[in-house]
Amino acid sequence: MSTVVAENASARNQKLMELLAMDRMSLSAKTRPAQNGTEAWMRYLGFPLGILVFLLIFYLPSGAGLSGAAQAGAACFMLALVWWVTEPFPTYVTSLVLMFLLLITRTAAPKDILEVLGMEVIWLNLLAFILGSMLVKVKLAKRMALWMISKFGRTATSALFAFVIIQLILAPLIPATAARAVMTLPLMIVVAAIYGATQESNNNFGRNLFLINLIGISVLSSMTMTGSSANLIAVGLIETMSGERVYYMDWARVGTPIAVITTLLMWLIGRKWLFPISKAEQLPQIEGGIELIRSQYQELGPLRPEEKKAIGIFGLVLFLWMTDVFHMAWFGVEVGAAFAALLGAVLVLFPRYGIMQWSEAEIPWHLLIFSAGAYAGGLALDDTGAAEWAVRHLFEGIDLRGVPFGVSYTVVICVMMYSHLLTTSKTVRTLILMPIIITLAKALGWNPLAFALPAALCIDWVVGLPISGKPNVILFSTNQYTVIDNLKYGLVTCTLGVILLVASAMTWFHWIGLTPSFWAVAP
Amino acid sequence: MRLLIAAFTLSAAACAAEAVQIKSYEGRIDVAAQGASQARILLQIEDAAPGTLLVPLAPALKPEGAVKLDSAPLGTTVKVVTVGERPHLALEIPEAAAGRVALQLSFPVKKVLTEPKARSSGKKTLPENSLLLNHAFVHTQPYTIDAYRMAVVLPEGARVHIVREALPKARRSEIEPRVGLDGRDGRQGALLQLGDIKQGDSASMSLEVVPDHRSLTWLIVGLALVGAYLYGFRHLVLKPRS
Repeated sequence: MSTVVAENASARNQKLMELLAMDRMSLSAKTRPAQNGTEAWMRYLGFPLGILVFLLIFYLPSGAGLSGAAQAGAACFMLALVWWVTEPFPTYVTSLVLMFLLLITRTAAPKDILEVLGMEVIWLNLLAFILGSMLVKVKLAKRMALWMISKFGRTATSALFAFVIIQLILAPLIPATAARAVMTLPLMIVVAAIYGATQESNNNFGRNLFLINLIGISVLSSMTMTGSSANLIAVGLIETMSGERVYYMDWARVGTPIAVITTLLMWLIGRKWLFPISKAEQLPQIEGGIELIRSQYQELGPLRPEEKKAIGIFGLVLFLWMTDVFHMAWFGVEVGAAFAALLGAVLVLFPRYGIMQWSEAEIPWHLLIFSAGAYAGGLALDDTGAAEWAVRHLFEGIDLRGVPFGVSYTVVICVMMYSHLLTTSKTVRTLILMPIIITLAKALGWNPLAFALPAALCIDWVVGLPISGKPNVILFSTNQYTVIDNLKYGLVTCTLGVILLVASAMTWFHWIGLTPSFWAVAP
Repeated sequence: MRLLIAAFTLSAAACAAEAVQIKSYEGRIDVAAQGASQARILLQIEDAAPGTLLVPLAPALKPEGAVKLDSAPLGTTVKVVTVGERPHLALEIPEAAAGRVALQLSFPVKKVLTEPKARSSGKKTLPENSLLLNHAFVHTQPYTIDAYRMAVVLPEGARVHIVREALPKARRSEIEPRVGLDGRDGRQGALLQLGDIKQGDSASMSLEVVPDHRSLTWLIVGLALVGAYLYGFRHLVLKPRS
């Protein structure tokens, strides 16, 4: 009898060890098989659909304000978007096709297409995987995850909430969204594994975990005007073009409640309705449950020297990320997020004194190729003016003269919120849209701040697609959710944001004097 | 003697230019598919002093024939001079017209669309049917130009493939792009604009112009791929026969 009990306990331990053996995991480049008939049909029809969409846009009569390259760029990007969503090929193959199409349609120069692989976001992604591998190798990620789950992970709900709190704390401290994604990624992967979500076997806990973190990282950046550099550009444009001064607290008092409420609502909506977590998935997928995890945590014992070294390296990188505003005064140069991570990678890989060798770093090149292609397509849309043309036509197509403030306001918020699907750069979107919005407000006879500040709160909500922002690319690389999962979760988040911003304009934005009465008509 | 006269003319022009200001410098080039194109320039001048006023022209706008004054104060004359290898309009403003002056001029210009230069190896840099339209304006005079707008209207059946250059880069406070594309009377055009131009400032654009029709090869290859895929990969959704 005692032998059977001992064997069972050993089997449970073995299962947990397998889940946490991240040093043996690799991010597979293999395509996930279709999960059901609908997905099989989507994949089958996705390929021709992508080509037909390409041909339709490519042969449309030339728009007056659209260059041939912009039209071709839009056709290529839409083809890739259809293929990324329906996945007839692995996403990185679609990216390679997109890069080739950009060349032969003469949308972008060869140099511009190939140089994307040297962009900061790609470097940051690569370095993130080196730092992540370090945390996995020294089992620090496992230690942190076991501690977190043993403290807060009695259920999946509380584990997800713990991540909301982590992102809420980090958002004002580290303005670089990609850095926040890099920091928390190893923890997410281990916690997901404990709840049975791996890249080979996705589940709704994993979808909720990664997507709520994406929302936390992006949306919570809109709490403060220093949350991202695009926010500061928007403030500059508002002050220059409208003459209205925006103070830190002006932004924070309207931005923080909207961002926090949305994140909390998505924590609720995600696990209840979008990707419902079944009762079975609510508990750690280990027989013996939380007690076993606690005992495993105890068994890890005190911190080992290599774990301390890893904490020191990660702490240094974190310190550089948090103090970027002082770098110029301290060093005479700004050590950006990528270079801080690069320094960390140097220390990790340093011969003899480092923690691991290059061959031990898990770098999924297929995901970097996917990111490069996605960015090449997005940049082509920006550089050729296709994104700007689409956004301008969205506004020009709607006559807002003489309509109540609330109607114009809702249109402005919707355009600002959903336009992130057309571009990969928050900065470019801000530079295109904010001047238009301020000018529109003036032309319609409203205080520019009434449109511009709520619209500026939408800048960081780039959550619709895996290519919409740097954190999106980094989190998508874990293969824990599909493009459609991301789109579904992102669109619900954005719609929730629009509803909250419109409801706020009807009520407390008006009470604090930011907006006029919702149904007011300009004199 | 000639040098003396030129120096005198230039110094007189410089004196006249000190207080003067061009409120608006608007131009339009109707590009002809073949032969000479037609240019029209509209100038709104403030505080114009009597005498010679030099107005810089972009090299692409060097008149190929007589400059016609479509509307101008009585007694105003114009001729084209070259200063520092750049064409200029030398406006002679009479005493009676000094102050606020509005002028409209038109003139033929040489072929605006040019063949791209091949590399020294003889390798072409652009496809067979691509042409270039380069326009570079440099303000050489001491007065300020408040607004410079140069519109180019392409011949029917042509379109801009890509804006290769648009300088200077648009400032954050500028709403409109440096070079914007638009359509007039069914013809595509481009507008280069810059405000508050001081002596030495410049504005330029370079457009690649192509025929406004797409090759049918894309359609044929695309549809062939669609057909081949739907047939070749039908096993993905069809149940295997038992």
